[in-house]
Amino acid sequence: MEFPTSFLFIAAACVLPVLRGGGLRAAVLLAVPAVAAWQVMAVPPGVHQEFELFGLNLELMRVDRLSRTFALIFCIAAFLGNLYAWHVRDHVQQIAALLYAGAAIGAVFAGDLVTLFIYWEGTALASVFLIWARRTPGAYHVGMRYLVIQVGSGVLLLAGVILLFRDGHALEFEAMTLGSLATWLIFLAFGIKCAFPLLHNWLQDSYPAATVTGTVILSAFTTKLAVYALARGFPGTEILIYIGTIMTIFPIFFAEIENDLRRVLSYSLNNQLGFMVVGVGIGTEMALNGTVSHAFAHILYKALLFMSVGAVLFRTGTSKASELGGLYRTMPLTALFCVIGAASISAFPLFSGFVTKSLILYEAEKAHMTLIWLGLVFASAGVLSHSGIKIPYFAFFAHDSGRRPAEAPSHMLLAMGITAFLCILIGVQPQLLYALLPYEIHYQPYTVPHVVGQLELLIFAMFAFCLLMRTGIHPPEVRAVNLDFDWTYRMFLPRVLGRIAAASGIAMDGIARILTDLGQGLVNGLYHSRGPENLLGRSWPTGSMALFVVGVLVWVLVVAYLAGG
Amino acid sequence: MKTKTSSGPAQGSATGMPGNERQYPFLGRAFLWVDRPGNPLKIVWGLAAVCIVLVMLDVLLVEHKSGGMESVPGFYAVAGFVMFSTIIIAARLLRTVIGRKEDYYSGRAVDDEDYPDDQLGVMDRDG
Repeated sequence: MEFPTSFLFIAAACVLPVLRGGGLRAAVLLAVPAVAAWQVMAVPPGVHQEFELFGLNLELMRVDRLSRTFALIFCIAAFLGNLYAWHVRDHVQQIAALLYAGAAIGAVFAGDLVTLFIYWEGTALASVFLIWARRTPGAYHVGMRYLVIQVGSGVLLLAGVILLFRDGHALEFEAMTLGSLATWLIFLAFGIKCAFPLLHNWLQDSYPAATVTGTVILSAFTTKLAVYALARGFPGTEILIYIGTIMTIFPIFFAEIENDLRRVLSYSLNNQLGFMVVGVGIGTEMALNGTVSHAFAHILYKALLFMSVGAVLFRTGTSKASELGGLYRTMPLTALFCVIGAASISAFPLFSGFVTKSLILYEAEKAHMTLIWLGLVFASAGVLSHSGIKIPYFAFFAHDSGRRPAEAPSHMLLAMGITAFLCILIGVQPQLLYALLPYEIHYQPYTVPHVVGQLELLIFAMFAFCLLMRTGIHPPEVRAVNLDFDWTYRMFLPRVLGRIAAASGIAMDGIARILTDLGQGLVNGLYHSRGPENLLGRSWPTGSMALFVVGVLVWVLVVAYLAGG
Repeated sequence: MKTKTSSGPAQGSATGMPGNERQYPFLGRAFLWVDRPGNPLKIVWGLAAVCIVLVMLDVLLVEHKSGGMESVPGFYAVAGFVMFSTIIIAARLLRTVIGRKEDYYSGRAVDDEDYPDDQLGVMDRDG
C-alpha cells in the first residue's frame, strides 16, 4: 500500500493503449483516481519509498497533512475531470490526463527537490498534449509557447537545486528563505507555474486553447501544485503578500472585458490564486489553513465553471459571450450548475468560497494589514463581477442568442452535479474540510457580522450591476481580443528582433559593399601598376634594365658624395 | 461525436413563441420567468429591497466595536457598490486602450479559429 501514488497513474497510462474499447479505457480513467484517493487517505504519515541514487537521497512518498490534502483534491479533480470526459475516445488525451494527474500527485508527495523537479517537468510534458489534442494550427502554436514557459520553469528549478547542491545544502524539500541565488531561482520557478504578475500569460493563453475536457483537467493541477510548492517552500515570505494582492486585483479588469468565457475563467483562476498566495505570504497556521482550504474549494468550483462553459462549447461550438445568451431555456441544468459554481467562487454564504476565502481575509485583518485587506475586499467584488455574474449571465441569460442547444450529455451533467454538490457540502458543512487542513483550526465562518457583511458586499454589487446594465454603462460583449503582457513576447519582441535583423542585414550589406569597393579599387590599382601592360608589369629588354641599374648607381653615388661632403 | 444539426440561431423558438416553450425542459420553463415582461425590473426592485434589509440588519444586529474600517455600519454595502462600479467603468476604459480585432494574433492563436466540429457534440434541442 505504501507505493508512490503517482506510480498507479503511470502504470495505468502504460496499460491504457493496449486496452480495447473506449468504455473500458474511460472506466480505467475513473478507477485509477478513485483507488488513488483511497490509498492517499489510507497510507500513514511519514516518509515512504526512500532510496539513494548517485549519492542523492530521494523521497518519493512524503506524507503529511499538507501533502495529503493536496493529493486528495488532485485525485477528486482527476476523477471528476475524467467523468466529464467519459465520451472522449482520444488515446492522447486519455493518457495525458492520467500522466498529468500522476505527475502532479507525485510532485506533491516529493520529499526532496530532485524528485520534485522530475515530476515538475512531468506535469509540463503531459499537460501540453491536452492543448495539442485540439489539433489546430493555433493550438499547436499555443502549445509550443506553453511548453517553453513550463519547461523553462523546470530548468530554473533545476538550476536552483544544482546551486544548493554545490553549496553543500541538503536537498530536502522544506521551508526555504529567500536570499541566495539558488532560492531565488526556485522561487521564480514556482512563481511561473503560479502565474505571478507578468509571468502569468501562459495561463490565459493556453487554457482556452485546450480541448473542451482538457481545460477542465488543466485547471486543477499545475497552478495548485505551485501553490502547494510555495506553501511548502516559502511560507511566511513577505513579498508573497504583495505579489498575491496584485494577483487578485489586476486580472479582474482583463476578465471583465474578455469575450471568450474560458479565458475569463482563466483570468479568474489567476485572481483566485492571488488569495492563496497572500495566505502563504502571511504564513501563520490559520493563513496556511486558509490557503489549503481555498485551494481545495477553488479546484472544485473552478472545475465546475469550466465544465459548464465547456458544455456550452460542446453543444454550440463557441464559448464567446458575444455569440451566446439565453441558453437557460434548453440547458437549464448546466445553467443551474454554473450558477452554483458562480455562487461558490463569489463566496455567497452556504457555498464553498465563503468558508475558505474568509480565513485569509480574517488573518490579513488580524495582522492589521489594512491596505492588503482592502485590496482583497476589492478583489472579492471583482470576483463577483467576472465569475459570479458575467459567466452565468452572458452564457445562459442576457439577450436571447436564438440558440437552442440540447442539454449537456448525461455524464457531463453527472460530473457537474457531483462537483456542485461538493461545493454546497463544503459551504454547509465546512468542518468536513477543516478536518483535513494542515493545522488545527478554531474558526466559525457563520457569524452574523460575517454573513451580513458578505451579503452586503455581494448584493450591493449585484444591484450596481443591474444599474450599470440598464444605463448601458456596462461594456457590451464584442468579438475582440485584449492585449496583455504576452504582447511583449508575441508581437513586440519578434517585431523588434525582426527590425534589428533587417537593420543588421542592411548594415552588413553596406559594409560588404564598401569592402568590395575597396578590394576592387586595390585590385584595380595593382592591375594598373603591375598589370601586364603597365610600368612594373611590362617585360623590359635586358638593355633597359642595365640602363635602369646604372641610373640607380649614379643616384647612390651622388647621394653618398653629398652626404660625405 | 455525432452532429445532428448546426448551432445557428433556431427558427421559431428564437421568437419566444409559447408553442416552442412547451418543448423546453421543466427547469428551462421555470427560468423563463426572468424574461417575462416587467420581471427584470421586479428583480432590480427586489435587489434594492434586499439591500435595505441588509443595511438594517447591519445597523441593528452587528456589533461595530472592532475599530477597523469594516466596523463602520454599511461599510460593505458602500464597498460593494462603489468597488463594483469602479471595476466596470475602469474595465470599459481599459478596453479602449488594449482592445484589438479578433484576428490580431491570427495564425498563432485560437482566437479566430473555429473549434473542430469532429470533437464536439453540437446538437439543437429540436434537432
